Amino acid sequence: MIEQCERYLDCKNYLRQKIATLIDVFVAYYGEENRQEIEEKFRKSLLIAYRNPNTNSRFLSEIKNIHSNELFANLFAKFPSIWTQDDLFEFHNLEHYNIFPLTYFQRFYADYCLGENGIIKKYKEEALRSIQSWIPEFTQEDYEEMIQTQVIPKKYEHLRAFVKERLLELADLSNPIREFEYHFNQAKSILKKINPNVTIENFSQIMEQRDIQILIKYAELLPTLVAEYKSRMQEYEVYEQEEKFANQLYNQLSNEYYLRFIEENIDLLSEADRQKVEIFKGNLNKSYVLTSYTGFIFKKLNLDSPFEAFSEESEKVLNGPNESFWKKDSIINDRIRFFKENGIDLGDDYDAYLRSDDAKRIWPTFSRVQQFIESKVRLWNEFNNAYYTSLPAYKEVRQEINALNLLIKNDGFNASRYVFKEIKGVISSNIVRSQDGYELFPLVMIPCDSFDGKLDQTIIHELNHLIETALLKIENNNHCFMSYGWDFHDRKFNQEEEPLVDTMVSDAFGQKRLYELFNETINEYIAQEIHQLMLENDQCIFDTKENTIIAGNSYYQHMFFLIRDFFQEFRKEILESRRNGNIEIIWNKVGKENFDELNHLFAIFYKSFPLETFSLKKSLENHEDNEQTRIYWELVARRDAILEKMRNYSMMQGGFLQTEESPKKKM
Amino acid sequence: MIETIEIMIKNEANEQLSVLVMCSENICYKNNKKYNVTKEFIEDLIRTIRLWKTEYGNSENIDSEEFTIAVKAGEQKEMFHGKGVFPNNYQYLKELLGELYD
Repeated sequence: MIEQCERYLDCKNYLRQKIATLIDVFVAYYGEENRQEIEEKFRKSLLIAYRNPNTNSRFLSEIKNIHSNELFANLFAKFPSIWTQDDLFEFHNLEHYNIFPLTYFQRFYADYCLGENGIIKKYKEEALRSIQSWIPEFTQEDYEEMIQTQVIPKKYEHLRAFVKERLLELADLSNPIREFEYHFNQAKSILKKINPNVTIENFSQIMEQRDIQILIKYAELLPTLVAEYKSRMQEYEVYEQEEKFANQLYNQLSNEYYLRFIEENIDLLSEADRQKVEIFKGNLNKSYVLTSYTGFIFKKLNLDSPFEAFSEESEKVLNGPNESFWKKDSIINDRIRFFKENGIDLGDDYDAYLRSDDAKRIWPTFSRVQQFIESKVRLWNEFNNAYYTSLPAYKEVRQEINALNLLIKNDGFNASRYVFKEIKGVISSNIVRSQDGYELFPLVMIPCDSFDGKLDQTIIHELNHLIETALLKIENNNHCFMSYGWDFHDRKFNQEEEPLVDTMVSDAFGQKRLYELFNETINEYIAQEIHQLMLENDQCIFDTKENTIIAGNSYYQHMFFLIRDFFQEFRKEILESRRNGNIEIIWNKVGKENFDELNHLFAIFYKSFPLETFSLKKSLENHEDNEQTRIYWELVARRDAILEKMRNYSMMQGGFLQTEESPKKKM
Repeated sequence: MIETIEIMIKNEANEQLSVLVMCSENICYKNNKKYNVTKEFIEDLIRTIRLWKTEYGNSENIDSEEFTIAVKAGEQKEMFHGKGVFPNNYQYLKELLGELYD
């Protein structure tokens, strides 16, 4: 499990280390005769496994727990006792040793051994040391005087109030006793196992018992355990720092863009509010100085503001006869609150505000509210772009990509990769110059944020696209035409990067291409076969053999019933036709018309079952007869008919089937 | 007045987030864990969803995140749903729910 966490933490390098293994897997599937082609496809591409750094803690906490549990188990194996891990450490790992019940026992026992006089003596020594670290001239005599009189010595009366307060606190000798009792109470949960009525006074009665002696041993060994744990975690320090940096960057940029949001809409604030904004501007950590009205209008960038209750859309909801009352109530409440915050309090009757001239005077216009919303959305998008592209891991990959001198600058690796988590893997084709002209150079981008056992299948799915990708032609030295299996795509070269990508609306789900669904379904089918082969060879990438999921990973699997027999019968031509843009191979084998007819079934399936594959599956299992199952069985019948036509076509091509039209017959 | 808001989000990794907000009691259950929530939190939540359509359908892509929200107010129960297609401020909802933590 630690290894698996480490793979995710160092996903970029780890995936690249696995290229040789992946090449072998694809060669095993496609044949040794295709090794050179497959190796070249990998060589002329960039594999980018990436992760959001705020998921570091997810993987790190697994590692911390594993190391902690191992160290605890070693301790118990060496010194068995009645206490369990839960008793001594609760559910914490060694990162939080300060709050272990065992730690509290350790502190209690150390003080118990000193006795009351020893506790006070130790406290006084530590207190004086502490005071002298900020007031070097403070003497032992000064301290004793302060303890006796409970008054600051005259020569220190000039000190600031909070310093004098602290001095008096340290002169209070009841503190260490209270602390001693506190530690005992926190440790009681452990000691009750020996004596449910244990107190500080009767602790001596159980002290010599074997299990208490072992408990004392545990307490003595605890610092060693902590040191060992810290030593083991040293190698992961870089990831802790990475996440810390990401969080700091997030907070810093959030404040910066929040300020910009306010400044762009400063006309909505009074002079008094604006003065506080100026203070905030001087120190972005001081958002608490902003007035409550500012906070009311300017919620966070990623939250809707009550001010938006005055939008045109909100007005339509208010006036819509069929709209729910709770929606209208919410809008009205925000509007009433707006007026109250602006000093116009006519109670909670909205009609009163509609009639009020004062309210009408400050009533926000639709256009002003729209401007506010647009400002917020734009700034949130800019924030996303700024944040993700400032992450060190992002910059590292960006440098690698820039060094490739790709001819299509909108290469797909941008902030939206991190924001749109519903997109799993992506292959983005691109072009570089070569000695002979131009070459394909795709980027394969794989997000590695989730331990869901589906990552290997995603990788293989995308890499199979890589294997099947081909550059067909370049026109006018700036327009490239590519194929991915049976799918076709074209892009124009451009040297200008988009200044900002849209992180608010995913653009990944654009216009469906002619063979897209059919193509993806076959790609997924092939990828599952390859994944299966990989497992049979005892190989995994990020997943483990135990948690990896081949099937059930993808919606495309619901359409396997349309292609299973087709694939098995025409496997050779299918695989050949999908590489290097040779779709004619399969057309010539099965007939283009038949191929297109099969393709059309995907559109029907998808239109009929975009959301309801679960209920279809249930209906089929229960042998029900309903609209869904009838559509399904019709598709099956049409599929079978098309397959029969494909077979006939194929046989005719081979000259095995003689018809009226056959030249052989006419002869 | 809204009594409850029930939110179910299932992501592409089949991980499920289930939230039940009891509006009048200012409490919320997130994946069966109880949290106290402020009136402001509930107002922010309602404000986020009040302009949503009931159905956003689904994108032509697959393996998408899916959300279902049920708002119960008196006798009325209103549902909002989408898979792979989301309202413009959907991320706001997730940020808001992310504020519920230990």
